[in-house]
Amino acid sequence: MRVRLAAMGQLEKDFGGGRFDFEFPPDSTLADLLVKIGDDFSGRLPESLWNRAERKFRGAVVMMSDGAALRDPAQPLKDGQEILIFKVLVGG
Amino acid sequence: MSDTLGGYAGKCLHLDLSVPSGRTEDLDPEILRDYLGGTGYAARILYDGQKPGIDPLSPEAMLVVSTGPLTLNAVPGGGSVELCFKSPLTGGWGESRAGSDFGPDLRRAGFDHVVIRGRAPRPVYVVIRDGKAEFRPAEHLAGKLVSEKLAMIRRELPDGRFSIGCIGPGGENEVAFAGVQFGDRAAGRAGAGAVLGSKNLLAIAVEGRNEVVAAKPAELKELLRTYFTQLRSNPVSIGFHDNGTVGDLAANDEKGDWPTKNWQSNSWGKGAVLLDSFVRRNFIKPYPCYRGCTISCGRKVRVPDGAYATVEHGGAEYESISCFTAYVQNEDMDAAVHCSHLCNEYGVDTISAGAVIAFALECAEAGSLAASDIAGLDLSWGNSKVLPRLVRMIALREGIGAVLADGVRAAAARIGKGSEAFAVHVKGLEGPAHDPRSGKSLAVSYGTGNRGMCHIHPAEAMAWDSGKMDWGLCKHGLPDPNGVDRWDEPGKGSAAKLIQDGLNLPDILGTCKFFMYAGIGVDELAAMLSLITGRDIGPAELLAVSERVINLQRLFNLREGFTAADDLLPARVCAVPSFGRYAGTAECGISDFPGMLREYYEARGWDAGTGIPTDATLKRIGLRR
Repeated sequence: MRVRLAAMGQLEKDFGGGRFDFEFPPDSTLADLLVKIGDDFSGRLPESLWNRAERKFRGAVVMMSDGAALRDPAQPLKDGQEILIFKVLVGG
Repeated sequence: MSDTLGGYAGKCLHLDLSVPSGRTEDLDPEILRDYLGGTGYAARILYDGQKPGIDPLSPEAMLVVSTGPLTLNAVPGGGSVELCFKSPLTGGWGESRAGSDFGPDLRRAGFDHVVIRGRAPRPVYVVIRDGKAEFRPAEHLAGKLVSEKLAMIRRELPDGRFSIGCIGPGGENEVAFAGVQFGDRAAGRAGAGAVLGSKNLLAIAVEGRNEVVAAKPAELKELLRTYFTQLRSNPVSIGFHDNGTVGDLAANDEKGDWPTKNWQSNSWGKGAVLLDSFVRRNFIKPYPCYRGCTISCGRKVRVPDGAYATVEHGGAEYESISCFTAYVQNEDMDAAVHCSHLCNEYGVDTISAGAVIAFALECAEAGSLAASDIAGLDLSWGNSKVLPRLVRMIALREGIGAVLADGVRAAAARIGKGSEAFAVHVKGLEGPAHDPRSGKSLAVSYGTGNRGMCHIHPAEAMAWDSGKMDWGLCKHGLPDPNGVDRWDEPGKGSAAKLIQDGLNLPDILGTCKFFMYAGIGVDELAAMLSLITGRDIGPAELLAVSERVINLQRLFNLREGFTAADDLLPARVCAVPSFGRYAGTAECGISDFPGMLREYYEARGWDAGTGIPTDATLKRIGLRR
């Protein structure tokens, strides 16, 4: 199945582009996408955003799809799904 | 009052602790029209009712507990309360906000504002319930920590669901930056706790059963449903919920928005490691600070074991953690979480406490403090063990703590020996954990903020030029941040004016500023306000009210003796960092702050030399001196 990753706003620069399409086998999960992000972008993403050792985003990053946050690595991916990634500096 | 304008309880409660007595009065319709509520209405009360030049810790000093027309649990961010007063830390305009049910509950009890003056002969607390106030003896509460006071008061008020604001030992000891605690949330900045302590008022408990009614409830309900639907899928709202304010540690460090080693740099390079440590060891779960908050940016945290073991509590905000890590070069997150909690228990502001400790560490390093001053304390950078001890010494005014308890400006004046260069403040308020070398519009807002060097009252402007946030203000004249270089200086003064006018509104209307970040901008605030009050109030009128309020608070400061010189930034804050990620990066230094200030004065219609609002400006904005 095909999943599209969309790096929003300032993250486009960090990812080196705005849209990326990935092919995954059926029953893949968000954890698989994170592994893929680690494989393809680990060298580009700043330490403040990407935890290389644990292959996950840090702090100010939010992943969303269909208007809802994606939090659970075990969450299944869907064919044709678009996953948006935001860098959110919340202030305070 | 409620016959002419909906959305208000309609009453102001005046308490004189010297007598003691209480009386109520109707809200003034003209002041409501021109200032709406919150810090605006309170500014008019203080400007008209308090003599200039008085000692802020004297009986005649006033403190106003304020809410706004949007202070309702059903409104996004409506769990809010503001305290307004002459600051004992700065000598100028003081305002301090906390997220809490206290504000909505005060309005349910029948009051939009409470004006407190006088001094009780012995410690008391006040119970406000359904239109009445009762003074109760509080000698048994004296000296207790905040959690102890809250538990004791709750036992004494078994009936009802009271919201309580109380001071800690820091307030009782008149620490100049003592705050007022509303449960786990603090109205921390500028010394409201010291003002209450000087009045022997240890706590205020409120409870009420009369809901403030909106003028158009059905339409309001529909509008709120729309807003809450939008908020659920807003990335900023989700970010606040999932990561809390502390989630910014690593990103701010990378962007040079993390004052480090008492502002010697704007980055440290340890933000990511510290954040990971926090998430792994200290974080428990998000929590809301008032009933109905959909964001829940609060963090329930703890230190499970070890030297800094700390019970579960709400705290460890970005500012607090930054001031007890990067400011003082402490790499032990447990110690920072513990110190943040200690500050809340003793009722002192975490930002000023961390800042004044960083100042002391630098004084010790430079030899400005004699060995006798520090009495065997190891004031080395990064020595986590000394931090909790210093917090207690400050709150109890013991040893060097008595000097630090008056803030960095007063401490430097007393210590001398070049320590003035280490005192990072504007107007006497210590700088918070955002660095204008990351986005220079913040420099202007730091210089001109009426309460001093504050990121949030009125605005953390670097979120615009560095963070690319616009709060819905572009349609009201703010340039699109995506076309702005964060380090450019021209254009930042005029932008800061508009950002301040916009971001000041939650403090006037009685809501939480974070919802503006999540899409509840000026237009949305105006729409809600119109349905709540029944008067059609557009965004342009709202911005005009905010401008009027900022000018009135400016007049308050001018009357207290402040001048344009008090708008300047400390040299260290403008300097190119001496180490860290941006060491030697010339563009990040602030090269022409007076130029940015001139541009700001011009945008505000203030005299270019004195920074005083001109007569023409006062006439334009409808402000009487």
